[in-house]
Amino acid sequence: MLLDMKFAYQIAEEVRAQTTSAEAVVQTALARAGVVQQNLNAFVTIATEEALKWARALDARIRAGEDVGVLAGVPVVVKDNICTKDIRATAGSKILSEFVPPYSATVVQRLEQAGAIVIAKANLDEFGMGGSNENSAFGPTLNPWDSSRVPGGSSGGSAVAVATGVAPLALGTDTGGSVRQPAGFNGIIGFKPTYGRLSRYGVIAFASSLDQVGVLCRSSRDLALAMDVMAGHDAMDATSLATDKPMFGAALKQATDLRGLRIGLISELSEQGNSPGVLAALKRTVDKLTTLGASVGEVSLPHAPYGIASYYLVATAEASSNLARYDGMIYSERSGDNGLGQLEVMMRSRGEGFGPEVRRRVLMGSYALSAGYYDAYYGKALKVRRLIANDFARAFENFDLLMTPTSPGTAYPLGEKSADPLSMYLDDVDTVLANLVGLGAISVPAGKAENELPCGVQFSAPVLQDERLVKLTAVLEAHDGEAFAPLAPL
Amino acid sequence: MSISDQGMEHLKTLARLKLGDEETQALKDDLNKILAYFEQIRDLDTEGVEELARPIDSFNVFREDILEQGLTQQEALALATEAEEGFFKVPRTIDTD
Repeated sequence: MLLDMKFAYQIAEEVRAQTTSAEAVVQTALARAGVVQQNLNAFVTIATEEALKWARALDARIRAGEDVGVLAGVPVVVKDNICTKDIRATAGSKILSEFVPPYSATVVQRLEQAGAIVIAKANLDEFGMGGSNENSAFGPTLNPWDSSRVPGGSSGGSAVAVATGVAPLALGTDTGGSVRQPAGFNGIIGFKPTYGRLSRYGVIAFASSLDQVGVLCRSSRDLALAMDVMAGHDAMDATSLATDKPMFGAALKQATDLRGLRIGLISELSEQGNSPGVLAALKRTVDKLTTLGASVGEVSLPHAPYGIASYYLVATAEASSNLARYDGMIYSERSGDNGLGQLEVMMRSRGEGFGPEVRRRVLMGSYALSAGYYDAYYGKALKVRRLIANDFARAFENFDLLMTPTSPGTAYPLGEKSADPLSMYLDDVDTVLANLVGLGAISVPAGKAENELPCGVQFSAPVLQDERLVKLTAVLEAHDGEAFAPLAPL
Repeated sequence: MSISDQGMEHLKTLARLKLGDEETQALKDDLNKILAYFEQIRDLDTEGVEELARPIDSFNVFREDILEQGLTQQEALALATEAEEGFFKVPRTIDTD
């Protein structure tokens, strides 16, 4: 019999009060991780020895009377494109299959300094490129609600780990929805903060003007705890906001009702193109928001439908540049004999080391940036990005938050979209906008849609107003316990 | 606009990717399908619109130049694809033919 995993705030309280030990909590988490790995392939690495060593050391410090932090003994799962000292970080790629980072990402360091314990590295779409976890060199992760379906992606393993109660908190990365979409597909919370609020030092880059670290969890309280621990300036990341003061815990304290809150439903994304179940869930959430005192009105973002084209041009262009470093020369896996010469070895290393979707995107990005096409594609995409940012700025003149579905549908069968990359890209229509503009956005559980599968609704806030999103989530959670935090069957 | 066979060969060199013939054809078809979708933004009027390359305005970020302990040579080279006597070892770069 496997013990259920509690919320992070509960675990930390019990571990600090010594009514349980970090070691016992970690043992429980590792036992669940083993089952989830066997059934759903959610992890690239389960760090059994390291996690137990950390837990025992933490318990010793607690017994010695030390305050070990607000996340004492909390097991966390970290997406495998985020560096963890001495535990390999593959980014889901063959080309990094032997990469063992000599340092931890700042976000991981901060979680550990607050007492959290990394128990596993989560499976993902290679370098974060994909929405289904089918693009992993380590095999696909499966959806815990229906194992014939995808868990979403690219932070699919992180989402599955939280939905199945392996850990109450997981880290993901979100370049175009990679935290929010799998959160929706798994019935949990997925939060991408404003660009620059979480350090990216030690995060394996995909598209640097879009990448953000995000949190997957089942409770607004856990989210606030994790964000207050991780956010704030980091000198190691030049894009980290210098004056950031995280106030997530404080925002939670004001979460009583939603009176006076003005929410804009983005009309271009909230009608056609969505499944009936997703639309019904959206409607239920609108009704609930109204009951809780918010006013919900429609707002038009005329350039929102151009988001996918703008996003995929920017993301692939930046990826083609970021991934140039994986060439089998200085580090990363090398293919072919040295006698073949550098260019041939380089081209073989990349051709064999990258999976099909990464190869496709690197080519796309190289094309968008190449002489003669730059203005027509990459430059044009950046202008459209500006138009989208202007649309958001206008909408936020009249609304405090904006709302859409998280994705147009629920989790789909494995293999359904892998032969048609464009169809998979189109699923990101709701989520890419926040990355293009740099806004904070959250996917909150909205109950079940088609095939009894979970779905999410997405809210976005003006830059640096992320705390509003956590407050809103807390109020919804308090009034809709059922949609929130159901554990997926194991 | 669409990518030709010749264009595809150029692109593979730019991207430093060695691909088989079959995959090259399949990828060419994929890319052309995706490019056809991107055409929608090329028709959009963006006259006078400024490019937005970074979502949040930021400028050169400076910090004090303080000496800190980084990775040792041994730690850094532990990650190397191939190393010898404290150096990275790579295939020859100059063609002697």
